[in-house]
Amino acid sequence: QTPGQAPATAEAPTKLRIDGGLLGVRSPIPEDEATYISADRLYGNNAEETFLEGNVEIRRKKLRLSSDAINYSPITDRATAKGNLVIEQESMLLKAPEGSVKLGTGESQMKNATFELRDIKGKGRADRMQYDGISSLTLENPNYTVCEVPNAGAADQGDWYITADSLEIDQASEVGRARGAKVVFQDVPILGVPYFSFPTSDRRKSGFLPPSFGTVSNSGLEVTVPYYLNIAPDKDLTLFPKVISGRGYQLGTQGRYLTPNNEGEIKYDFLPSDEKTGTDRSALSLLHKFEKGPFYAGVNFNQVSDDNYFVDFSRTQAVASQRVLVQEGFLSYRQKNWSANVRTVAHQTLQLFNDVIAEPYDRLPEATVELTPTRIGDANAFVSVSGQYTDFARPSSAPARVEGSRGVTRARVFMPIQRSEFSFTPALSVQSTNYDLKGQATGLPGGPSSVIPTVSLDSTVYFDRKTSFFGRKVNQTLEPRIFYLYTPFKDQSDQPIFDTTVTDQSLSRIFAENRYSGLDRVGDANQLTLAVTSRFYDEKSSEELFSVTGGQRLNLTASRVILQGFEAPTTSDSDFFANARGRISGSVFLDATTQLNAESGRHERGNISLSYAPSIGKQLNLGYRYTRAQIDQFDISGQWPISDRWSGVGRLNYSMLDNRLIEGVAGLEYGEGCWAVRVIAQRFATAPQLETTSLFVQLELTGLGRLGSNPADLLSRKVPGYTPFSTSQATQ
Amino acid sequence: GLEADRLQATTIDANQMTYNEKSNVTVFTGNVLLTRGSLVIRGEKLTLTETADGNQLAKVEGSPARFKQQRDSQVKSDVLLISGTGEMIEFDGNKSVVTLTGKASIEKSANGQLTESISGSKITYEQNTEFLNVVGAPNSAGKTRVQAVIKPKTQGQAQ
Amino acid sequence: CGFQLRGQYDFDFDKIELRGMENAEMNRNMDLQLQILNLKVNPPEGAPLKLNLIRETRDRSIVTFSATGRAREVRITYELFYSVTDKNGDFLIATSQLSQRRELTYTDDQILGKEAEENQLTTEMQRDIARQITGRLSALQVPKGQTAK
Repeated sequence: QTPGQAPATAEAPTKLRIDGGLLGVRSPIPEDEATYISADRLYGNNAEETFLEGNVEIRRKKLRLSSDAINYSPITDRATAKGNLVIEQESMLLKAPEGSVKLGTGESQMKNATFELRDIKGKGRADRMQYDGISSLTLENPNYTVCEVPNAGAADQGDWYITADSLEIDQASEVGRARGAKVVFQDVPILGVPYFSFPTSDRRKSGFLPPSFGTVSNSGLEVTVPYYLNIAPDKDLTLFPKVISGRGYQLGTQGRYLTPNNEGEIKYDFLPSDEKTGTDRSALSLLHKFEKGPFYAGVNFNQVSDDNYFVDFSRTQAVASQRVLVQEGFLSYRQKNWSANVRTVAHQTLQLFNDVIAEPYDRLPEATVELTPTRIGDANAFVSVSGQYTDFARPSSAPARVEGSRGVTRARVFMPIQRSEFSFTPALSVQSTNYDLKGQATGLPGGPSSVIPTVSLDSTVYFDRKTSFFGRKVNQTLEPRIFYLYTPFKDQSDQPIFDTTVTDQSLSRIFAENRYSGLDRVGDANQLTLAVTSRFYDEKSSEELFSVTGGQRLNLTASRVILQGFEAPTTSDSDFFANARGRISGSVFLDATTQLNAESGRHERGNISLSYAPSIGKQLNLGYRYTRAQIDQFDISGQWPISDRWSGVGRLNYSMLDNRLIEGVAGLEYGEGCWAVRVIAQRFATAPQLETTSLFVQLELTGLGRLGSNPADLLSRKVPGYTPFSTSQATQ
Repeated sequence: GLEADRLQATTIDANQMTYNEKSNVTVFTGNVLLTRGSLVIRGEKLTLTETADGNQLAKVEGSPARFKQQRDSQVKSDVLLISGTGEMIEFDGNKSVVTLTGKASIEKSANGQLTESISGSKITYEQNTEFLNVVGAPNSAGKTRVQAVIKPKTQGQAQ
Repeated sequence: CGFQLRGQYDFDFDKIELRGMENAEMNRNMDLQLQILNLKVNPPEGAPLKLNLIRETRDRSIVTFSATGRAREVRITYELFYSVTDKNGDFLIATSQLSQRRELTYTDDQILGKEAEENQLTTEMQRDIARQITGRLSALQVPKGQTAK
């Protein structure tokens, strides 16, 4: 209507040209692209930039943003905020006076910002902070702590905190990497390190292997400052530079790698010109496994520079007790029913001054082919066959010993008749052994051989009933078992002893078809073994709670094959064995075994262990082990909280036979919310009249790895069920 | 709005129209439709006043009143639209400014794809510069808030 | 005293699939134990349920030291993680773990013989675990729809 004209008549309105776009909105903004905004005021010249003022909130997928004022550009999808910027993404909370965020990716930059990583309780502040939107937070001049502090900005009021030139926290790989870092504990800087990485959760191998301090009786003061280098996702290298006051400087290295087909670990410790011995001391351990389809291969090589290496350098009795180091390489091809394996095995034997050991034969090589038990046609019979050829080389230190090659073939046929009420398994096996020897004693053949058959009948009958066991409804079974074994006597005294020994007598051995392990001897036998087992199964979960077994092997005729030098001839029936094992109640576990000499009724062997573990951080283990004329030791260990801050750890392993402390460990732990101090004293026997005493101090900063050597790991091996303070705190 | 819109004449179409000589105010009622080039405003009642300097102010009321306009775009084939609703829509002919009040909300779309939707208590839109100014609408908490949903320009779209 | 002769193994199925740890000794021991109980293992026409051997862990620790600091007794433990699923993958037995341990005296002078003895004991532990698994399998009711009697 042009103004001022007469009013238009009521014509029909002009038809608008219908054009797709003009129809307005057909498709809404997809959820994962939509940016939801709310503010007090919004203005903008056009689609280039939109200004938002007054407690602005922006949300995109899992990212939430709030600030006093934000300028958002849909073109660059970037929001620049001024005034109380807060960014929240899953368990991460970032705050800063200002900063900018790319909404689509979550990448953000901020200045003098604070951060909180709720899932790992990590918090702190930084002059500049960058977040990659995925998982990695990069901080400049940060301080970081895991302890309780009034607010994230006050990280330096934590019991411990880290300050650094730069710190990167990668939440995906759960690792923190700091450069130019300083660890401050109770306001005292205790560690300055140009670079270190630390785990942000317990699962990861600790990147930060903190320095350890300790004194060791045969070496003096020891300080180690380890470096963990995470070379690649599937490779890492750890260096252990160590100063030993009584000996010198040692460098330990440990490299690990894991690829789809290969896995391995290399450890090499080297200490040039040890002050105590004047020689270089070193230890190498190489472990490699290869697997591809049916092919398997591997190397397990261990070597030390001298016989006393472990006595001088090991911090645990287990390591100190190594006397024969294996040096093996193998290649095998495995299929469902058969496998072939070739290996060479050599040894390094450590002879200690008044404790000489007989060195084992090296097997250069040993080849084995094995057909696993396979059904014959569809008869109810199975056959297994194995062939082995071994070249035994005598150790250089025993040139007089016999050596040579041995070929063994074994075949076994058995017919398992298994009904639901009983099982009956007759078996026939044959072992043919022949040798080609050098250095045999005069009068003994160079190529002794033997072919020895064995017959066995094994039958068990099953009874059961419903009953209750310490208040729990159970199914109790009663399984009497009869096992007859017949092997004719064949004089094998002309055969050498390469890899054969008398096996322990035990409940599992009285049903074995050969009382010797290794293939140089097949024990003659005309024996009847009777045994009864009763098991208690939980009625609901059918889990085996407890079992009691008793059994005896009766020698119907005395066995005549004797392993010269290892066995005295006996005519007695086998001993009587009994074992009781299982969980008596929720937190009490019992394992008791006894072996009585059938004739004299004397106690040949026995051990009993009782462990009581009512809750995490509370554990008590009592153990007594006895073997006539060899072992008579009791072993008490435990961990018990003394107060909510203190807890005691200990182990005592004393041998009455030698009136000597085999091993003693005593530890005291004090813990606060985010740190714990552990002092561990330890003494263990390393050789006749020689022991190692050591005292270790360890400070553990939760979430930062254990500062100090690994007494915690040592304890977990020494005190079964031991739980480090931090874990027990976390779960309370 | 489109460059050409400014030069177009404003036409108004309605069922009834009354003109008041003294106050120089014309009131249109019933299916009111104001068009100027690609700008379209609809409502139940339109009050047109002419100021001394010859400027025309149109106030459109409706439940709600609606407006729509095509926006400039460098890519000829792109159809960029802006549309809005409000209990009252005012249009200043000379300044080419549209002001929506009363549960005001606007939507921008590109080729039918919604790119922005904003609501507030008062929205002013300058057609020539496409400058948008939104003031908060009272929300349940009594605070006046602007709510907006914006789609980021994918690389292709952003010129 | 209430005991009566009762079958330990009466299965609700006669075919079973055995998967996992294909070339390992445990797989062969489990396979043998299932065959001994007259179950068809991995039949071409499939089976109503599947026994998955997930992974095994072996550990060797020194239990007793002699007064001269040498290892006197060694404990070897063997642990197997397994689960049992029906035709469409639902758990009949959720992932669970069975473990066994044996102790044997040890002297460094007879390391070869002791190594052979440890291998024999490990095989024996695997057979014990295989028997325990078949015990639990016999307690399973396979959903009727799939019984392939």
